[in-house]
Amino acid sequence: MSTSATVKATERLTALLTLAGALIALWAFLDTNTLILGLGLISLSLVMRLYVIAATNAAQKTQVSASYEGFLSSEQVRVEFVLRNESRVPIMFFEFSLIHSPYVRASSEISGITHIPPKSIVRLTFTFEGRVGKHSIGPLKGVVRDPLGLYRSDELPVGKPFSIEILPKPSEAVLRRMFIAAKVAALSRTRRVGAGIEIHSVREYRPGDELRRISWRHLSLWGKPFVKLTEEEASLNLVFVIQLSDESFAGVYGFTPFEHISTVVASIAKYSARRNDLMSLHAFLGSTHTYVHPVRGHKAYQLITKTLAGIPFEPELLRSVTPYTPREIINKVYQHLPRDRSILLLLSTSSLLARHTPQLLEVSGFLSSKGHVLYVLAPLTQAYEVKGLPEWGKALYRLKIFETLRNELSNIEKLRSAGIPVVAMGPQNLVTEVITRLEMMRS
Amino acid sequence: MKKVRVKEEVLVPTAVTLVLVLASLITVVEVGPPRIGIRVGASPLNTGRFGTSRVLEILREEFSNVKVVLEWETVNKSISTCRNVLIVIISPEEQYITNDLDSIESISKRCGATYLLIADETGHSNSVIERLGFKSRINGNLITQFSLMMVETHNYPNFSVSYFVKAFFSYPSGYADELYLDKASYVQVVLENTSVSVLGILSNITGILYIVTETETNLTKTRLLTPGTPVAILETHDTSKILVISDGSIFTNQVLSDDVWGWRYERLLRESLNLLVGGSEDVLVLVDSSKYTYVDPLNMTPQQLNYVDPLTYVLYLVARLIHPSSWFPQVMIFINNLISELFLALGFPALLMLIFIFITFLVGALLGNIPAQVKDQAIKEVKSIDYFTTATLRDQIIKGKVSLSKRDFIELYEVVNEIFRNSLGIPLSDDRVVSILVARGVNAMRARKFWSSMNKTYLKARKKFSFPPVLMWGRKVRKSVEDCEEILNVLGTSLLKDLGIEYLLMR
Repeated sequence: MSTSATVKATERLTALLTLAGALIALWAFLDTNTLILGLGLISLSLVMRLYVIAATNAAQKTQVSASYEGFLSSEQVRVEFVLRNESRVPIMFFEFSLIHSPYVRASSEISGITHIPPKSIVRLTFTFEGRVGKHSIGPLKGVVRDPLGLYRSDELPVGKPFSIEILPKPSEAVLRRMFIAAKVAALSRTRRVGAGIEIHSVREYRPGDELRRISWRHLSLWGKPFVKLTEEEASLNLVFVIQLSDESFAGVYGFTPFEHISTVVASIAKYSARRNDLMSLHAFLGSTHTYVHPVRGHKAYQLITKTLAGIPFEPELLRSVTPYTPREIINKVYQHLPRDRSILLLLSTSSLLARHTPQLLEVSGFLSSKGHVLYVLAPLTQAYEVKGLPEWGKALYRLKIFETLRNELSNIEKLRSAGIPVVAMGPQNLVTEVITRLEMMRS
Repeated sequence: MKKVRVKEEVLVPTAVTLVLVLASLITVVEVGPPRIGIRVGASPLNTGRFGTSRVLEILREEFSNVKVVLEWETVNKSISTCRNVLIVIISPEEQYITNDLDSIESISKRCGATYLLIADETGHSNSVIERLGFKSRINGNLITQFSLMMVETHNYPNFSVSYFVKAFFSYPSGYADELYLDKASYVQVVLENTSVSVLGILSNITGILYIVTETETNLTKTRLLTPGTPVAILETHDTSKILVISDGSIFTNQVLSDDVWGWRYERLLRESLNLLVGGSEDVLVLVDSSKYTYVDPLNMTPQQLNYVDPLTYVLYLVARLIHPSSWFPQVMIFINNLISELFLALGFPALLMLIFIFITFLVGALLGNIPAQVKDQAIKEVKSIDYFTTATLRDQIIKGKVSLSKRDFIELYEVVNEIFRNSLGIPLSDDRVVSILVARGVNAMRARKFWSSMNKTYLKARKKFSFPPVLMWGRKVRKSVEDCEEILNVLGTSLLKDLGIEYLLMR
């Protein structure tokens, strides 16, 4: 708080001065008590003004620190502001309201009135519903008043704005499901004998084999020892490619394409981290390219989720920005691809894909020729935007946008017919369902 | 060029300034007029004939540190230490009070050596001499000279006789001179006091000397003086000396500035100073100007004006006139008279009107001084919003501003047709739809009616069949949506629910 604020009078002061003037005028007809009362009221207003000036000055010099707890989406994020009044002036009626990004929803009151005694601190706590991405919080806006409300200060900025970064929460159900699925048709099967946990085949015992590998069932069946051979588990190269435009942030709270695909990516990344897969992430936000180097294990999961949490949730800024085309995206991603076969998971909105279907076909062919595989996850924009409308409104909405929907679906169909596995999804598709459909395509 | 925005900040408002000025004026009036008066006596600040400003000039020639004393108490507080002090008192017109004497004594005690030069015929300075422990005194009565015949015949010319007497001065330094004294007294010396040296005596008597008071009209209380009566003495104590000359008039400006005799009196003064403080260094000289009457320049008599330097008089007069004590009371009296005489004479209605005008001005001034007014409202909160690319359409739907037309029915038909194609593999126009729907549990009549209605209306919308015409397409679309929802639910999808048709189409 550094700028000087002015103190303004309220409508109550006019009423008070009018009353004081009337009392002074009545002095001509009544006794001197009316004069004293009138002058007393004027003096009172002057005292109040001096107080508001002093309290405003104290509020401007108030030291503010902020912190937050809670880092996962769909959980509560607790933001705490500590106001330290260093002066000797009590700030008796301090009205405050927290400024924050309109795209993050508060689950507690964000405004109120408090009292900050001199040489003391006051803690103000606000709670928000966690939402993936980076959100601006603060500063506090404050107004100082006198006890009678005759004067008020301008709206003062108290403290400085800061950002909260909310990580996507992986779906535990997905993780469980993927562990089970991996045993039958998982991403990691190699069909080669080697170190692993899955049984590949059996062969006759040779000296030097581990006794714990002997298959007692075969021994009893054939009368000679056989040992179990396991299937070599392969490590995958997973590349998450996220293309974001303003449409990616469209939808009701917690059910936007961005939040949906963040959860999908976080879930896959967490599963792959346990399998020690090599993972990287490319996020294309408007004209910005954010990149996570290929990393293995839990560190990869941490980096990927942190990168997703650092994506600013500000669709308004992306509205006028031309997003990357699929060709530009693959050009950038290809520079960082490992030599081994990589699985690229492209996550983009259906409308973006529809606009660049020919290019997508082209880059898919290119990647395929290099031995890489491309999967596409396409959130259907209309499906996200219909959520939250009343029942009859949903029907009207679907009628009005059907032409666009049909166009996008036909483009997705084109991609599918060209051999590109595309999963279109809406907010009603659970993450488990999306993953299952991805696995189905792989198999 | 970059524009610089200058913000003017008023640190001291006009109202505060006016209040302070008013308070200052009241204080000044309360304290009363300052002592802005012209000294007409032997004050060192009087540049007129009877003043001793010439003595002050001589002292400043002789010494580097010379101060004029207006109040002994103030001077006492301003002096911390000093090596030597010379106090010069010439014909004071008032008695010294206890505070003055205490201050003089305090100064004397703090200084290494104290020297007093007193030229006084009134005797007012005796209290100072006494307080500092000297034995000599000035008699205080004036010496005059009569002829023997006048005494014998009691024929006194009512004091028109001369006060001039001759005195002979002889100093240890070798200085000697015979000078006239004007309105002189004599010094009473204690004979056994061996520390006293007589420096000047009455001499060259041409008649009989008496001491008189100026107000006496007879000689009953006179005393005959003999030649040799001391008029100047030097009394010495351990660290202090006093030189008393029982006539201050010889050091007035008119004497010291006289073209013929002035230099001789000046020499007397310089010799006296030399005798007192000769050889001493670092002497603080205090010239008393605290015991002289001040005459208000506005109240001076023509006779007093003759004794005042014209330039001094004009300066004092201007200072007196511009001081608030001169004019503020007059202004207040004028205002008081105006209110009491003129306003009351106006009568009650006119007076009432004036009061109202005054109050209006007062309130106007107060309102003009208050800060800009705003309507006090709570701070606007940030409202959370959801972002939608089709926000306009959603708003219209939520507010019920969407009108339905023939075009919307075509869209509805297309939607249902697409779903039938996807889920059943046949278009809506195919009459097998009815049997399939019946097979799925839809009432046969209901199924046929739905199929027939949808297709007929579609043809009307496409203008291929127009009888009977559809008058209200909005109602028709709404009715059709309800019918379609029932059928679509049978097929496992919906137009009205979250899990809508798009999920079926996107598979």
